[in-house]
Amino acid sequence: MDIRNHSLISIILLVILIFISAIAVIYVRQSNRFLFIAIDELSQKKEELYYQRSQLILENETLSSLSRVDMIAKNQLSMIKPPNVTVLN
Amino acid sequence: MKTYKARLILFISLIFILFILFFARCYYLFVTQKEFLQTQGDLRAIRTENTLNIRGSILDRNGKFIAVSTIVYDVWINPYKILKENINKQNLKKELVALNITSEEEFNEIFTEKNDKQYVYLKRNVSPNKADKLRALNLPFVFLDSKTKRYYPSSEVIAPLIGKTDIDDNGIEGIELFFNEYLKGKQGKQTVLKDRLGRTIKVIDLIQEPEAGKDLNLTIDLRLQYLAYKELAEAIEYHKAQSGAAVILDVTNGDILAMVNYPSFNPNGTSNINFNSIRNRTITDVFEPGSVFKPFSMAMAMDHKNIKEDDLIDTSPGFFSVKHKTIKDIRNYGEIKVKDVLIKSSNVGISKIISDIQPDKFINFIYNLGFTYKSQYDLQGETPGWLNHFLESDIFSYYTLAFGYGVAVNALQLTRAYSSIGNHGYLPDINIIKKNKDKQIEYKNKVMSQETAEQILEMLHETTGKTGTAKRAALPFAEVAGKTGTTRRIVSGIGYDATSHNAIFAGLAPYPNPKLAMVVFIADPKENGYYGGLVAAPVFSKVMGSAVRILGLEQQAEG
Repeated sequence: MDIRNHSLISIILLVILIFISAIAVIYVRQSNRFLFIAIDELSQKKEELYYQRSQLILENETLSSLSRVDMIAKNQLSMIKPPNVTVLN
Repeated sequence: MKTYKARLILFISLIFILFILFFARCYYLFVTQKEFLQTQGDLRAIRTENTLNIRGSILDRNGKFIAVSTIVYDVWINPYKILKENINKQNLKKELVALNITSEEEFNEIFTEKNDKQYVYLKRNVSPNKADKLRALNLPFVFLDSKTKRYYPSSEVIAPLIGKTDIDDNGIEGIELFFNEYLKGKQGKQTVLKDRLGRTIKVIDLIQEPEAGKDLNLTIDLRLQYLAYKELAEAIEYHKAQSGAAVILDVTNGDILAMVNYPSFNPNGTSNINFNSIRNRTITDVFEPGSVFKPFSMAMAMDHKNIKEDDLIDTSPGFFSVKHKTIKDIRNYGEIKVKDVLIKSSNVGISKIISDIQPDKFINFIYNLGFTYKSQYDLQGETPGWLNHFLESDIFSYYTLAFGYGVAVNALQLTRAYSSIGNHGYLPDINIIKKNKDKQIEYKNKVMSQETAEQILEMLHETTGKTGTAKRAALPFAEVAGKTGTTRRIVSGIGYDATSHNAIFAGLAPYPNPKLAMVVFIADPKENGYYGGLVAAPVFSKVMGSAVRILGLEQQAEG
C-alpha cells in the first residue's frame, strides 16, 4: 500500500514538475519575444536619435558656415572690413 | 454481435496502424532526415547580417564638423517571391508610388524584366521619416536596409584634402581613405531568424561585437581654410589661371591649419568628379620654386661661408655667362649688399654667392629641408618632387639651383621649409591630426643656425617693404616677411614656355615672431599679370590679414 502511495505521489509530483517546467518554457519564450521587441524598438530609437543628432549637426554647420555668415554680413548687414585698424596695447 | 466486435477490432487495428505509421514518419523526419531538413530549414530562415556601424566624424581643431555620417535606408523588394506567393501587385504598386519610393514605370519594368530576381533596389538613401512610414505599411517582401551616408557641410572648401566615401561609406580618397580603419571601426555580425516574409523575428547569436568608428580631430582651422579657399578662388578666376593651391602651417609645431585647392569638387554630389578637381594639389603637384628658393640658398651660404648681410656683391652688368648660357637679372643692380640680393631678387647675386660652395653641401641642405621626401601622411598621390642631380662639371645647373630651377617641390614641402626660417632654424614635423596640448614639442631637425634664420627673416621682411618685390604682401596692421617667385612652366615638347608661368608667394606672419607660414601657388595665370608679386602675394596679404586678426596675433605684431 505504502509503495503504491509513494508511486502515486511521485507520479503526481512529476506531472506537477512537468507542468511547471512547461509553464517556465512558455514564460522564457514569451519573455524572449518581449525582450526582442524591446531591443528592436530601442535600436530603432537609437537610429532615430542618431539621425536627429546628425541632422541637427548638419543644420548647425550649414547655418553657421562661414560662406553664409560672409554673405549675410556683406549683403544683408552691409558690413565691410575696417580699412584702418589701430591695435591698442 | 460478432460483426460489431470484428468491426471494433478492425477499427482499433486501423488506429494502431495509423499510430505506427505516424511514429514511423516521425522517426524518419526527426532521426533519419533530421540533419538534411534542419540544414534546409536554416538555409531558408537563418541569415547572417551586418549590424549598423556608424562612421566617426571628422572635425577641425575647434570642434567644427567637417564630415558627418547620418542614417539612411535602402529599399528593396523580392519580385520572385511576390509572384510565387501571389501577392497583390497593384496594391503594392499603389502604396510604393504614393510614398514616392518608385514610379509606376519602374515598378512595371521590375516585374517584366527582373521578375526572376530575389533582390532589386527600389530606392537608395531614403530618409528615416519615409522609412518609418514604409515600415508601418508592413508590405510583404518589401525590405529596408539601414546604412550610413556621409555629408560634408564645408563642401568644396576642403574637399580635396578630406576626400570622400563610396556608397558603402568606405573612404576612397584623401583623409577618408588614409584614416579609413580608424573612422570606420569594426563591423558587427549577427545571425538572425527570418519569417516566411523575410522579416527578422529573432537575433540568434552575435558573431562579432561591433566597434563604433572614432571621431578624428584635424589640425585644420576651418576659418583659415575658408578664407584661403575664397581668396585663392577669386585670384584664379580674376587672372584666368589654370589652378592653384595654398598651405598654412603653424611654424612652432608643424600643424597644418589650411590646405586649399582650386578647382575643387562637391563631395556631397553624386555626379562624376574629374581627376582635375579631386586631387590635393598641395601635395600632388610639384613645381620649380624659382625665387622663393633663394632664401634657402642664402641661408646655406651664410652658414657655410663667412658672409654678412652688409657685405657687398657685384652683380654688374646684370648678367654673366656660364658655358655659353646666360644668367641674368631683370636689370643691372650694380654693386649691392648681400641682403639686397634677396630683397631685389638678383639671380646673378645669388649665383655668385653660392659659386664657391661644394655642390654636395647644397644638395644635402636641400634634402635636410625635407624636399624630395614624402610627408608621413601618404594622402593619396603625394609627389615627393625631384632634384636635378647635375654633374659637378655642369656648373650652369648648379647656379640655376640657387634661384630655384632644377628642383621641384610641392606646396606643403615649401611651406614646411619656410617654417624653419620662422622657427629659429628648426624644421617642424608636419601634423594633420590634432595632438594633446600638453605634449611637449621636440625639435629634432635643426637645418640652419638661429642667427642665420633671424637674418633671413629680417631680409624677407624688408622684401615686403615699400621698395621690395613683395610689397603687395604687406598688411595694414601687422608686419610680415616673404618672397615672391615667378617661374616659366615646362611644357612637354617645348621645354620652358615663355608664355606660361607659375606665380608663387611664400611668407611668414607676424614679423618678428612668426606664428604662421603660408605658400600660395597659382598655375598659369593668363590675364591681369602673371608675376608672383602681382598674382600670389595679394592672396597671402588678404588671407594673413584676416588670419592674424582671427588668431589674435596683432599684439605680437605691435610688440
